[in-house]
This record gives sequence, C-alpha cells and structure tokens, in this order.
Amino acid sequence: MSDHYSIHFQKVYEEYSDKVYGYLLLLTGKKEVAEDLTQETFLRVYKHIHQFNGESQIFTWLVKIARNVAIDHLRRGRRLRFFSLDKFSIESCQPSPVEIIVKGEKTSLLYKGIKALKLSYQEVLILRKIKEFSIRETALILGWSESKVKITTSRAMAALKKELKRRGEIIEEII
Amino acid sequence: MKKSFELEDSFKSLSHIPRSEIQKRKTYNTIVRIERPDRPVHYIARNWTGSLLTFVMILVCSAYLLTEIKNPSQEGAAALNTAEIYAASEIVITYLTKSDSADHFNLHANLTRKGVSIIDEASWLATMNETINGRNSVKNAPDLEDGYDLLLIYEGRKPDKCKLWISEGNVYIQRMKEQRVYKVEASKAGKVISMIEDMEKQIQF
Repeated sequence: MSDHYSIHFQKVYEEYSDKVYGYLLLLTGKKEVAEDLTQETFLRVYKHIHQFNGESQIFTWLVKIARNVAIDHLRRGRRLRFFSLDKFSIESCQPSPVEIIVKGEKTSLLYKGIKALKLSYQEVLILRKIKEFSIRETALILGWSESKVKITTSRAMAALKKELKRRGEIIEEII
Repeated sequence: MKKSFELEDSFKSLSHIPRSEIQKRKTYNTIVRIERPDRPVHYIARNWTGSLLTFVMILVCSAYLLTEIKNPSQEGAAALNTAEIYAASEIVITYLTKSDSADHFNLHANLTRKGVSIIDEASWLATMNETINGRNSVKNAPDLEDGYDLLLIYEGRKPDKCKLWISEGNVYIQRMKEQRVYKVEASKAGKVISMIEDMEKQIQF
C-alpha cells in the first residue's frame, strides 16, 4: 500500500471507526465482539477502499460493510448454537453493555426493549432512529426497497412500544 | 407529544457510545500490521480454540473458587472469607481526567468530552481491581497534589468516585467517600504512571 493510500485510510479510520464501533455495539451488545467486528470491518475497508465509488456517503458505505460483517458473525454464532429460539437474534436477557448502562436507566431500558425485538426490527430502528440514516440510506445498507424500510420502521416502532409497555410501568415514562 | 419527544431523546442518547482510546489505537495498529491470510477455515478453527480455552478456564476457575470457599486459606492476611469474595465486584471500565482541586470531583457528566480518557485496558483494570479490592491501604500517604479524578465503573454496583495521585514514583488512590488511601503495588506503579503520561500526551487533559 502506498503512503498516500495509508494516510487516506488512517483519516477514514480516525473519523468513522468510533461511529462504526457504536453501531456494532448496538447490534451485538458486547464490546469485545464490537471491537473485533470493527477491526474486521476496517480490514475489509483497507483492502477495498479504492472501490468506493462515491455513490453514497462514505459512512453509509462503511456501515453497509459493518452490517455484512455483523450478519456473518451472527450466522456463525447460530451455527455453533445447538438450541436457538430466534433466528440470528442475540439473547435479550444478556446484560446491557456498561457503555449503555452509564447513560442511565431509561436509555438502558430502551436498549433492552430494542434487543428483545426480532433482528430486522432491531436493524431498522438502529439505523433509522438511533443513527438517523435517511430512508434511502437505510434501504442501501440493508439491501431493501425504500417502501420496505418505511413499513418495517413503522411496525418496529409499534413492536417496540408494545415491548416497553410489557416491560413495566417505569417504561411508561419514556413512551 | 412530550412522551414521543422523550423517546426520540432516548434514541439520540444511544447514538454516541464511548470507546476506549487505547483499544482504538490497538485495533488500528493490528489492521495496518496484518497481512490477511485466506481466513474462513482458520478463523472458525481459531474461534473454536478460543471458545474451548475459555470454557476450560471457566471450569478451572470455578473449581478453584469452590475449593477456596469450602476450605478457605487461613494463612496470613491474604485469606478471604466467603463474604469478602462475594463483596468484591470487578471494575469493567474507568474514566480519568485531571483534577481541578482535591475536594471537587470533575467526572459527573459528559464522560465523553475532550480531556476525559476512557480506559478499559486489561492490565490497568487488573491493577485498579487489585488496589481497590485488596487491602493494601497506607497510613502516611503524601498529600494529594496535581491529582486526577478517577471514576471506576463496576459490574452490578454503583460507580466509585476516586482521587488518584502520584508521588515519588508511587501511585495512590482514595475513594471520595472514605479516608483510607490505597497504594498501587510498587511493581505496577511504573506502568500505571507511564500509561497516564501517554494519555496526557494523546488527550491533553
């Protein structure tokens, strides 16, 4: 790799790796896994950054790669699991990462509510509501149509509110 | 309408998640160092090996802990009783910044602001655990000067607000809520000091 190439990569890493890590932590729920997957994501970026064609924002492109890396990881996890109740999903009973716990009870409860939903709902909520990607960008990252993004976001929000209500009266405050 | 806004706020608060600066550097260094081989088979094999090793280590540690609970060592001050074993909680992440004064604690909010270092490096956490959860307290510790505010986050209990200061190559830690001063083991003080110096250079407290 040339120096110019390395410097370009370093800039991309410095600017976006924390955001990619945050996205992966929300998706996987474990900081060690998120850090490993961030590494895997940027290894792919390192190899393929010259293929970035500028059709989308670079962060959208990075999250698309990160999402593929995370889905590969979840699939591997499922293959190694003998009993699974929900396809590819992570156990909702696992404790929230400490980085989320320190943000306060409401945020932690919201996170747990999201993690209890099925994976497609989790993904669309993380991208649309938390990371605030547009419908078009979300569709690009997930490989869905824009109308599917809209419908799924609306269903995911309804499911989230139902889940939060189910989880107790304290949650009423944040709905 | 208000509730809907609050939900949006909670979504936004999940948008920014702190990340250890040290881990970020390590990951970057690994990426630029690795010349990736063809992975899939090796990767899965390595995962299996890692899981197996973790499983074996958990078994060994559980067996050891069980033995210690059933037959606690009676030799010397290091002997732990059952209550102490359960009372000790592991520190999972720490925040460090320069102190404004000996009395004021500077890490109440906005832990991701500039000047606050997030540390979850394994050896640092181990040293903090040993120092705080151990009983290595000192009576004639030097006065706190040019210290640091240290926030210790535990798994399963409230965080600890501490002051940390360095004097003549030794590192001292004091919980805000108690008078007792703990001293970092001499053999580890050097590493703690050099890590703080590195952070000062990188983050500029």
